Amino acid sequence: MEFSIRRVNALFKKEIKDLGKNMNILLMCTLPIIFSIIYSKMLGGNTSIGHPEKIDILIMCLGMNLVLVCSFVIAMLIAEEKEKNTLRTLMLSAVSPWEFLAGKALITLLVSVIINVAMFFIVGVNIQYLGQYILLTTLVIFSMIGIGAVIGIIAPNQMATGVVGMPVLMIFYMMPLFAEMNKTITKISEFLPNYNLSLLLKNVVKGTPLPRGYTFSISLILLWILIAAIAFAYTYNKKGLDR
Amino acid sequence: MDNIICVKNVRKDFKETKALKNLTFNVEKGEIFGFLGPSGAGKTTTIKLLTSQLIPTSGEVKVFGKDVYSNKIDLVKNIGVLSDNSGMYDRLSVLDNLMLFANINCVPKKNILEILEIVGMSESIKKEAKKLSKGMKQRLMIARAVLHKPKLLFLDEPTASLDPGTTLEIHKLLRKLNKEGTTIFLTTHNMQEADKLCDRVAFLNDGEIVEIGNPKSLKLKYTNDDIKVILRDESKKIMVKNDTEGACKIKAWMDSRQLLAIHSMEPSLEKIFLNLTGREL
Repeated sequence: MEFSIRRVNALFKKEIKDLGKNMNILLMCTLPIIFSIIYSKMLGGNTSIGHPEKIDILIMCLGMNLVLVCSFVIAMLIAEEKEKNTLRTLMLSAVSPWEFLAGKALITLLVSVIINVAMFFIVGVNIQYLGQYILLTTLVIFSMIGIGAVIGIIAPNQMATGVVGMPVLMIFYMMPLFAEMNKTITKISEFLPNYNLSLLLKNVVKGTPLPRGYTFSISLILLWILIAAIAFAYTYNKKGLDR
Repeated sequence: MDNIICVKNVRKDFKETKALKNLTFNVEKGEIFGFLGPSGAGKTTTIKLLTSQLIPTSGEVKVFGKDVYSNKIDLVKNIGVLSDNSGMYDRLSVLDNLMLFANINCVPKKNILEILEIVGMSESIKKEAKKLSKGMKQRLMIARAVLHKPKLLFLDEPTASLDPGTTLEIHKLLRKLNKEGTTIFLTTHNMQEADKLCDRVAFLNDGEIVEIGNPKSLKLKYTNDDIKVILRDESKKIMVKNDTEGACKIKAWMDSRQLLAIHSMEPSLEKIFLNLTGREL
């Protein structure tokens, strides 16, 4: 396997230039920010009992970012390259599949972290939690990027990412939202990385000491990174990037 | 001379379709090799096999003396490919498109400007690729394929959508690259282009090579016995046979100072292909 930092850097620069002109992706990236503004204006001022606290608002917006941006952006970027034959051109220009995917993952990671931090400030959570927040959310971003890359490999074009990615949207976005409504949904949600992220963030804000309340969730998030990596390796070996 | 491409007994099947049947040919280092045939003859399949985009059903494909599939990484570093499935980044400018491939291949920026000058796109460097005309897009693709001065260049119908002026410039560029050591594998429908550019051509029909050789030699091989004679009086054109009787007639016209010109009747590459296969290109 060949891997060149120079080539990944060239691809990353290209992604940055292209991102500024890609209206589909830009719109997807602005949605979590717009919703964080709306939610914080609607609900953020009132933190009394029966009203969501700031961390809950942030968790709602995070769910959207993790699914819409972390998973769907990388899936759409990969599918677009397949659709427009630029992937084939890159593969015939000494770019290895791993370099290509690293370029895509880096831009998705950068955008996702920026949006997460922006939402943190928009919602107005106490800045003392910023470090732990970035660390924990970034861990989950890795697993969601892996899942998005799998969708991108399976989908033959950008349109198909919606169809292929719909179960991901339903499971990862909707389940944690409705976790409080039904015991079965709660049980399933307990095994999802983003639901565990919300538990972790709540513990951070509550000031729960380590390792109580953290061990299971962090282990599960790390397991999801591993699952996503295995799923990606399996799909890649089965379907390839450009066959 | 060294062979840069060696194809031996290659067969490629797509389910029920036999795209290539027992294909065997070599391309020598430093030559411009034309691969000619009608649509569906197997030209693009051959390019895909040679550039490791497809695996043959059977047979051996060697490029730079090595098996294509086990040396894919080395291969792609030394080749340039322009095919019908080459793509470009629509939202990026001409310069940014080329900058990406220049950065990937460690090519200095001045080479980009040079190549843009040659393909006549110096004025369009800031233009978004999606705003380019079809011909301009093709020029950009050619610029991208030759940017890193590859040892071996694969061109699938490179001048199909270009105007005659640009086609001429592209031919000049290809000759220049060839002089600098780039071997060129070219597929084209344009027989004049093949005749002008190629050192050797191969005619492909239904997945098989029906003839291979130097364009001039092929024309001599398939020439007929007719000679066209143009006489001074009323610029009369007369066909005579290339035999003793014809020679006597020509001598008589020469003696009487009536002869203006003599032309041999070599067939065009297109006619040779038609004679060999019964199909038009």
